[in-house]
Amino acid sequence: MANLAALADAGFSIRRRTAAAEITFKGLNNVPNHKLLLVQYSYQSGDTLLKSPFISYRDTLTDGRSFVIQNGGRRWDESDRYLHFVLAKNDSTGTVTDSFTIYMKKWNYKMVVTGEKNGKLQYTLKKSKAYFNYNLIGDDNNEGNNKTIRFIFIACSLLGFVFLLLLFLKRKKSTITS
Amino acid sequence: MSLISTLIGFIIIKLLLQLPFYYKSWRQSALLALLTSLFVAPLLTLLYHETEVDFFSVYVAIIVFDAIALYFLLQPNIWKAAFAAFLANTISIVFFFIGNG
Repeated sequence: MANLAALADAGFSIRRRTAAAEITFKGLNNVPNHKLLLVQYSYQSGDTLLKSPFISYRDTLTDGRSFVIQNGGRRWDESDRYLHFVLAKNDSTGTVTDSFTIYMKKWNYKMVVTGEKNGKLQYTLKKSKAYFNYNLIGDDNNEGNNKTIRFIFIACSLLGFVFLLLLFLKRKKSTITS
Repeated sequence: MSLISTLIGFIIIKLLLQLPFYYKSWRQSALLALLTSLFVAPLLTLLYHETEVDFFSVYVAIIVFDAIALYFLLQPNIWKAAFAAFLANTISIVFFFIGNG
């Protein structure tokens, strides 16, 4: 049984995609003496900026920039994404004055930067739920509102369940006669 | 995989694999294949993409659910129901993983 479960797990974990999440940056012009950098894009929260061997990003962000992240992974844990940011002075040394992390899974974010105070970034983060792009008819048809399409999936499932329940309640019951 | 493709695949697989067991009441068997597919196929897709639930447990759960449905709504023969549910759902879930993998 354990072998069967292991086999099943090996097969059942393949490419389990999750909802893609999008982050947008606004108001970066409000920090003219600093630059905001995305320095790491990691799977696990335990990875730190200094010791991680696989820093995959070191990108200066510009106002209005947006990107989609977490667009699937072979396994669920690979779909976890932590974005690590630093705020650095816009001089030749580029001294880091602030750093923070955002967990992207299942959420869309809009970061509105209002300014900088004592080296710390002042910002508001608006988040909204990210929906998986389910398809109704064609496999490549990603048009339409993901929230509505998800609702249609739930409605179909409920419809099937309700009809089964009705069949169950209206089934012919055999009576035992002695 | 789209909802229509998943549904059609599930319905055809269940219909064909349940037929040898319930050929005398094939209309009722077809109706059950349709309704259980309508319930299970979208639910599986949602669980697959939105939760971290272990799909081996889900696989066992849908076999049990189908076996209960076949037993109570088609013919009160538990072994026949269990075997038909096991066969139909095993092929269905393989189809699901091929489609979504």
